[in-house]
Amino acid sequence: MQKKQGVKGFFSKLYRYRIFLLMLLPAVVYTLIFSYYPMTGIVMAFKKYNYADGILGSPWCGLDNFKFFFKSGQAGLVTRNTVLYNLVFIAFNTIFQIAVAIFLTEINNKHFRKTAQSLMFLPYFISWVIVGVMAFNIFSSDYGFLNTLITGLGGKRIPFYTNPKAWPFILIFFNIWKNIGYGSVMYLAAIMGIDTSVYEAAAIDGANVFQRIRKVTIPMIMPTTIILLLLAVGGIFKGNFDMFYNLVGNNGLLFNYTDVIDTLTFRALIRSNDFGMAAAIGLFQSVLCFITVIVVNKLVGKYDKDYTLF
Amino acid sequence: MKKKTKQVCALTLSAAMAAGMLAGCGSDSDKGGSDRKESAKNVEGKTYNGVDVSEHVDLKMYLLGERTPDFDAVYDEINKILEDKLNCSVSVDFLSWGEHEKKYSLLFSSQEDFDLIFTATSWGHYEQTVALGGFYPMAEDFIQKYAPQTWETVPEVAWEQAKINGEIYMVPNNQTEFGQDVLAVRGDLMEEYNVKSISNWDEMTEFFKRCAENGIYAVQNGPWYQYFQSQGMGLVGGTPKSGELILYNAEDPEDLDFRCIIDWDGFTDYCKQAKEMADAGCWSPDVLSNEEDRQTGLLTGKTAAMVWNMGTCLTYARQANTENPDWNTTLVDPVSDHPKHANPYINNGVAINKNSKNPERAMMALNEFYTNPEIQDLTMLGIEGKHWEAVGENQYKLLDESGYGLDNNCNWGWKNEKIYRTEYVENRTALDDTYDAVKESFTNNQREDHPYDGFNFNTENVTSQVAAVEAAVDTYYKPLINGLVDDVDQSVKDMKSALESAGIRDILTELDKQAADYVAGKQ
Amino acid sequence: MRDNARATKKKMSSDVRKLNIIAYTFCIAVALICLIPFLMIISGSFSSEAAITKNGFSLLPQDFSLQAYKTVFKEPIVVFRAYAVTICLTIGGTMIGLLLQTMTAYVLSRKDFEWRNKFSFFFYFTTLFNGGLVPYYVLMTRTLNLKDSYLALLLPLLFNVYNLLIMKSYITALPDSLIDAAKIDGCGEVRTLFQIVMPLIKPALATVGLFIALAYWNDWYNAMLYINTEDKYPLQYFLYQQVNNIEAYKKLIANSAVSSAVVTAVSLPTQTLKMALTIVVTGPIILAYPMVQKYFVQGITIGAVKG
Repeated sequence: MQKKQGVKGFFSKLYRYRIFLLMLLPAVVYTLIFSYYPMTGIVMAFKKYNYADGILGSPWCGLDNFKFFFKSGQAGLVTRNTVLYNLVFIAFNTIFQIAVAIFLTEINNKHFRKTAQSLMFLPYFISWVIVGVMAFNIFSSDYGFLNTLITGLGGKRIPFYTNPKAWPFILIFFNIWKNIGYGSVMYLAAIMGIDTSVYEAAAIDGANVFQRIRKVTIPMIMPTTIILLLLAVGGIFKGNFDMFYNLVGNNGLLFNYTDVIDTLTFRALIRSNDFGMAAAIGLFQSVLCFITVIVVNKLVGKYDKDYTLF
Repeated sequence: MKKKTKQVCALTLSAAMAAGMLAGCGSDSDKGGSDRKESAKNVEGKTYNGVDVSEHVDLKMYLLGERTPDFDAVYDEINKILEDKLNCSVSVDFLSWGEHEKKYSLLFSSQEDFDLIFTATSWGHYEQTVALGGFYPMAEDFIQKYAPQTWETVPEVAWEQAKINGEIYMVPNNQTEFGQDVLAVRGDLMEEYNVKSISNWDEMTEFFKRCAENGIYAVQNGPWYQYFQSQGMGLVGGTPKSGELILYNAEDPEDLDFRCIIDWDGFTDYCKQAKEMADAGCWSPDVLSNEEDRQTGLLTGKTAAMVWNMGTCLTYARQANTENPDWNTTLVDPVSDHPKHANPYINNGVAINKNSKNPERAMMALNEFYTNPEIQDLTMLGIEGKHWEAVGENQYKLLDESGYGLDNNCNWGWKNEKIYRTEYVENRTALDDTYDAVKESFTNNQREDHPYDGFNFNTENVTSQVAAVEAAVDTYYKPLINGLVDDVDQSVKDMKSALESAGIRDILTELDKQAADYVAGKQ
Repeated sequence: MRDNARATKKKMSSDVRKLNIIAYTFCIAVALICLIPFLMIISGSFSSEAAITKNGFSLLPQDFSLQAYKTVFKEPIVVFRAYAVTICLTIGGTMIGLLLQTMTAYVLSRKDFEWRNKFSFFFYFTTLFNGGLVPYYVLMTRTLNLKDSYLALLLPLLFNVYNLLIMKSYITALPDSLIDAAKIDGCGEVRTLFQIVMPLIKPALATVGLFIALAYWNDWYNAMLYINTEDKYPLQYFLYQQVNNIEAYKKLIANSAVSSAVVTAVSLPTQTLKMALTIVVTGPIILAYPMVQKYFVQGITIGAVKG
């Protein structure tokens, strides 16, 4: 199995793996056509694009396309916001989704289990546009449900839309709410994949349910959890535009707490529709994500080789 | 043996999938562009305005919006005229409202084959498509040769506005639209608060404050536009934030200075007044995140007035009065003490695709759309006798607009006020009279032209700065103009330093240079 | 699954009871928070547009009205054709996609395949970097000539690296001994995959299948880019068109670009329409969901297969 030398070794492996390679072939061809070929578009980040010359023919412009982002004075802020939000989202989503999956499997009543699971899936189907309108219905200072409640109880109105500090909590709440059903399915499947004999063994050893969850269930779903975490980390510099834009809109008062890279880019380019600058920010995000993933993947590899992405 | 079969099995499976994918890719390869029927209806010796049109041409045009049920019937009629006069036909594809933001630029980047396309300044992709080299530049002699009637009809200032870097890329429409907004306001509240008239800034703010005192919001958001208009200022086309950041004194043709809001005292003055009004409760503190339609406040009784253009105000005032006759909603001009100016003509127009194989014929067809009253009627109103009927020489009455929709088929690019018809209103109300009066006062009170009226800033040399300013400004600008900041002076100062580091000074320097060149070029 | 384990203990021990209390409370709370907004959307979709703009959302319909649904089903045949297109795409796409992803994931999870990490990286890399819309659009429309073809709806969603890696993690979790045993029995790779591995990863197949299906079901974007003929519209795009046209049209008027063209847009429902659309789209999925669900409520016993 150790590496044989040179070309000969390569060809002998090629022959040995022929079935594997054949099974990979469709996916590889697909990826080459639909992912790698269009990647030529990345060069637009360094070009002053125009229609007539196309992607490859347009003149180079060095790093000019990146300038606007750093000139805006918000680059640090939005990058920090993007990463912090994503970190919190990843942490909370993982915890809540695993909790739901474990609790659901521990519940005996099949009908309840099925119904609860279906209900939790509902928010996935509600588009962020509608969520934005709902949020306005809840938080608006004039007619908002929450403020009506507060004043009804004799409290003082809270103007949520002029008060940035409330927004991290609101955004985190909606993010968890939207993903809880969809995300927990993956953990449910992982728990369902655990061989029942392991549980039987644990029961015979006299473990109580809490010990069983801690000692059996959680370790057994670790591979899935880590893969999902790694996949999420791969997008850590990419903000969920739909969510931020629909919940916050162009509300400058809240930007310090709510502006992410994607919303800033949207504002900057909405009028000029500059392809080069859009590509530049995309590349900036991709490179940062790439570095992060390489590092995290290495760290995971130190812990257990089997858990790594690649 | 068994193993062999399995290997073969795997092989076949993979190969089949790969082949399937590849086959899929090529299957429709002969489809592209087949919409155009090959026709050889060439007519010997046919000419249009002295230009040879003996070869038959099928043109393709992109419009924005939706294909209405009777659209094709209407365009069949138009094609009869076009076939007859210039031996060509036009087929139309639509970019729907929801998708034109994305697809407009994709048409050009994928080098699609078409000839004509609707465009408009800022919202209709005009500047950005020109900047990326998507449109066919129309030299003056090109227009004069292939569309002489249009060249005569379109006012000079309109051509001037359409110029970018000295080159014309669209045929602007020809109608005097007043972009300046008016107020649709509830007459019963004016009476109740004892506000006799709302004709200038002070009267308007007074009314706003009376509304707040009585616990009703006056309008949806801060009246920044009304303020700078009451100071005689106008927006500079093509500058960031649709021009709202840089103003010029439109009422004094001699005054060639620009006022950037970070330097202009008027802005700080306005923001202070806005804060006072906002604190008093003249509009909702949620204004920045409120996505409600503009008319919602007025129609639901949450606000006392609505700010919009004249036509729209009329429509919603009518609706408000139908639903609540006692409201007595009426129209007022809160800046009536200042002269008016028509919208830029490039608010609607038509451009030719740079990749068009027949730009000459496209221009001729456009000339027909623009100057042939029959086509003008067809595109705006539909088929006579089915959708509308004529009243006199230049008016119309609707019969059944459901199949086509009045003025609703992206016909705005070639609207020509010299030949289009106006509506004949049968049961006139007091509101209609007010509308006519306001409109007349606009028409009769037009200001002198300012050298900058036709000027359009070209952002090409300062693209990074413009994008940076666009990104940075919203943090301060909207809260300021809606009076939602704690300390106006501090916030203006913060905005100033933010915009300066984003590069607003570069933009202003470039603007001064371009404006000076422009004015010099005009003389 | 755990039911068996629990069945051995006749009485609920105190720890089980404690856990049950926590689990029920938590799940009921979460389910309610997820359900209530949806109920508001249902009642909103049966309300009149005027009532919704005036009073906001509520749990019961205000000023009961079918206006929104009437707008959606204005031309019922078109809607049903759109449903048909979406259902065909979803079923076809899910089957092909699932096969493709499982096959690939199986190879990538095989520890005796030395190049598995290189290939994983080859696939994963595409999730980080992409060339943006323009080159992709040119690829689809000019290179592959897929404009207005159903393939333009099928192909882009066929293969998804996230699903691939999730699938891979499930297969990796299977004990190595299983595959070794299969090899010793003289099973080829294809048979091992189809007869040994696939039956054991049913929950995973259900999960990834569900995700692929949802991606097809919810896709309007590809239709927006590549489909021109109304006959070929999938459901989501058809609905998306309706709402967006009204919205964008209203916005356009707000920008006062087309002052004279207001008349037709004034009375169109938007909020209630959006809500009705949510119901129209979600309904069939919610009804079909229990079919997938059975794979999440039943564990598997690997030992039984092994023998």
